Amino acid sequence: MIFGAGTVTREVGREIFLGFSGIAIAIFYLLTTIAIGLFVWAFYRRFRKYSRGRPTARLSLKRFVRALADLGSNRTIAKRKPIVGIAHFFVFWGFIVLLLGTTIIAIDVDIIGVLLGRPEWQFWHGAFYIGYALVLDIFGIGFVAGLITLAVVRRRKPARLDYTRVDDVEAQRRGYSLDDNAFLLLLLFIGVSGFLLEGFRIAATNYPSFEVVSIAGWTIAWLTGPLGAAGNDAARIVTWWIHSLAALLFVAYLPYSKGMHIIDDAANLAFYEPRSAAVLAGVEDPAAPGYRSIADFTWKDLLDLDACTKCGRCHEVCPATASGSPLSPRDLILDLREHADAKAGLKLWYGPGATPGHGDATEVAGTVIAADTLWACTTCMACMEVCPVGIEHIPTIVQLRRRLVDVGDVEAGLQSAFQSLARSGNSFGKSAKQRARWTKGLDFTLKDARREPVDYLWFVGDHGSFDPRASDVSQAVARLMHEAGVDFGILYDGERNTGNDVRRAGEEGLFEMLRDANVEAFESASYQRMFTTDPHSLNALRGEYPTDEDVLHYTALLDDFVASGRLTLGKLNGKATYHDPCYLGRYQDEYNAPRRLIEATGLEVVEMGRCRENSFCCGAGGGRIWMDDSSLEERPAENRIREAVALGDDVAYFVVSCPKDMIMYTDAVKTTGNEGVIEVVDIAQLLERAMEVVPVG
Amino acid sequence: MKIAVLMRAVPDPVEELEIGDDGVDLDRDFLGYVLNEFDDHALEEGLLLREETGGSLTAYAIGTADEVTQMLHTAIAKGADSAKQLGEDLDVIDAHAQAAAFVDAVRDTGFDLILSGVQASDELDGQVAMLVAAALGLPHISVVVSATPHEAGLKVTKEYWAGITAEYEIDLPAVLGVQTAREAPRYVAVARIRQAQESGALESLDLDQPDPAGRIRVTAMRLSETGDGAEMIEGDEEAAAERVYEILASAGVV
Repeated sequence: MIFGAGTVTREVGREIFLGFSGIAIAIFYLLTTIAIGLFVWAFYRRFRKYSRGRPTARLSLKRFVRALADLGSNRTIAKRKPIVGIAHFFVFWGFIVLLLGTTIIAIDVDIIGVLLGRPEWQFWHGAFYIGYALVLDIFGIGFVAGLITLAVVRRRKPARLDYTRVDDVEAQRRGYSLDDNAFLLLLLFIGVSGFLLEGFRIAATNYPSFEVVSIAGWTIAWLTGPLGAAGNDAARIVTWWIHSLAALLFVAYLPYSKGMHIIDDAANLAFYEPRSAAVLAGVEDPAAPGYRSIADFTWKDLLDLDACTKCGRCHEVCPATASGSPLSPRDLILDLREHADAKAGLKLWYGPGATPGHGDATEVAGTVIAADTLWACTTCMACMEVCPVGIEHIPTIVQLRRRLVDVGDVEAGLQSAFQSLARSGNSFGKSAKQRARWTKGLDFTLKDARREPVDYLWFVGDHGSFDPRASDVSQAVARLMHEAGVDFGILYDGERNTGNDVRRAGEEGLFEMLRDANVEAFESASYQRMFTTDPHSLNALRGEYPTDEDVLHYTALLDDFVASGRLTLGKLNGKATYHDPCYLGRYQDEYNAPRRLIEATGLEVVEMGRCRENSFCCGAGGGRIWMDDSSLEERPAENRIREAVALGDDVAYFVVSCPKDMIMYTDAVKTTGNEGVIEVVDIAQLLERAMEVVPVG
Repeated sequence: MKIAVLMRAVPDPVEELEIGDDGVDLDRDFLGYVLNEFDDHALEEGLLLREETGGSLTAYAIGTADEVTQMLHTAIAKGADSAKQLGEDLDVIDAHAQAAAFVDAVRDTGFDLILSGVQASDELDGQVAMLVAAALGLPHISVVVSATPHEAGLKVTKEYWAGITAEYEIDLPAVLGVQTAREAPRYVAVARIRQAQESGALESLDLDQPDPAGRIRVTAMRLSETGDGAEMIEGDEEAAAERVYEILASAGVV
């Protein structure tokens, strides 16, 4: 008989279909075939959706190796959420080992035993079986414990798992929670029923001594002992079917559900490019910039949409979400997913996305995703930094903004900034000739690097040149450089806005225009190295200019001068907190020089809860500084100042190292009524104060 | 509807404005130019009407400055079907000369509607649109804040003072002086302006220097005088009233 072929009883081992009739076995294989068929069909349809995306080169060994480490360690999940990370680690490895265990049985019993009919080749017995049983039980226990932990976390309803939308769009989100719970409980059910099955089987087969290595099953078998051999065997048969049906249900359910993240997220991490926001892709066809329809998305963008597990971490860290704007990075991704699925004719098991109209639209920017929502992003990159599965929100937002700009759907404040930038190279509506007017407050003259050679060319940036609060800082930096004996100069009216934020606001043509003008000015100047006081400029100059400038942030330069004794500091007293600018920290990975400088002034650095990679944006990036923020409930900068003030009365300084921060936080200190409580001060200004208290002699 | 929009380049106030040696005009050697804000609104209203009714829109501007070419390319990028640059600088820039140049360009071209800004920042008598209308013998409405298609003509809203507006129906052809468009002038991406530069839709026309008769002559131009600063009057109503009286008395007004 066909189905009996694989069921040779060994001394150490177990029989899968112990006591099963041929019909029962046939039914099982039929159901298995159906489940796998459903899986393959739905998986193929998902795969086909991604394969229709526009091409993007993402295959690299470096990314692949990093993804292996990410996956193996679950470190991206454990980041700032250690309990969830550890629990997921156990579920992850438990799932893999249990899946391998099932695969081994499938190979041994179904393929070698049944299909090939070669019982002598079977290996799932003896010492191998004992090791197998031990390993599977250990990982199975971890699997169940991890799932229970995650269920408890969910049960406590953290705010990040609340799917209420931040905009006013009516949307049915019950399916999301339903799927989350179904996914978790189904896995838990499979794990627990597996252990029960093991226990009943051990008890029904009279406790074979080698089964003691099945530690969980052995324990359960002792507890179910009172049922007697017959009772345990009856329970075994029932549980066998329940366990198997649950497992087959899971196989069929996976590609129609959150289960898809098991496959999508491994792939998404393997193709993730963390620098994609810092170095944006250019516009391929200037006649049709940005993403018009879902057909313009790259396959990685489409994979991003399905990769989202709705963990809500981006939602939790996003300054736009926190300030009551209509943008939540999570909702953005999920809305796009619903739209992409509707366009591809795909459905998740709980039905189509319930955001009205998403399936009908062709245009994405301004329809599927409202223009206000797209303009709300500060491009601070907190979402990408925190996303455990490598979703790249910002490049997609910028592509959609490019489309808005192309059709002229531009926020009013941004529009006048663009017009001013196109006219005179700055966003202040000032003549280019006035760019270096701030230098008049100095008692020495700055060199014009276009007229005489300098060691360092200083790229000052718009705000440091035109805004009095930030140009005070520029003056302090000039005095420090002068004091340190640095040979440096500026470009005077030759400098233009770098276009970093213009580019992120989606105006690629204007960015190119500004970039070309700057490159021309650089070529007319003679210098060894460049530094800038503006982290936003730093980002563009380093990664998005063809000149491949080796640019320093001024804090790195000053850090050198203090360390080498070119600047002598006295000691200040008290405590300070430091705000990491998004474009210096997350974008350019520089965290330490500013802190060393503050400590060099004698101040103690007290960290805010959200610091370094997890710093909270001031709200000015990505063109937001030019847009109207009066509709926000709480400006991100106000939220941040409140966080700093809560550190205690003794933290007297809020130290910044970005001109936009100086402006945003000076305002926020006033609007939150914290004048006199905490002082916004730039690192350069702090160094000057410390120099004033150098003991004489 | 066949629409013409008459646009003017005005000195860019972002740059420092200096008076030339002759003392009757700005020193135009170092001036930057921008599109007159009201003409930008006229263009926007024209584009909206063209979108609603079909037809075509042609933008006109006078002068040789790069900014004039740029302005017209921008108009094409925004949706104008063609643009004409009257490629010579006027000897004397005033409303009569500009109107005469525009009339030469649009006469006998069969426009249903001619739009221009209600005024320009360098020409505050606000006469170009009405002078064009008079020369062509067409009906004219000024200080227009909305023009929408209505039967064969237009329904036009004109703004008076103190929040009073009036609604007119006007037959075509007609000339309108636009104060504001129904919507804020649209943004046009730099990349689109670049494409417009390559589109060849901009054509250059000759310009005859208009006859100087009947024109306003500037006899002197001066920068406004800077005062000594304001005096903030402190104290309650009684004290403030007393101080105001003192000031008026010392000035010999009362």
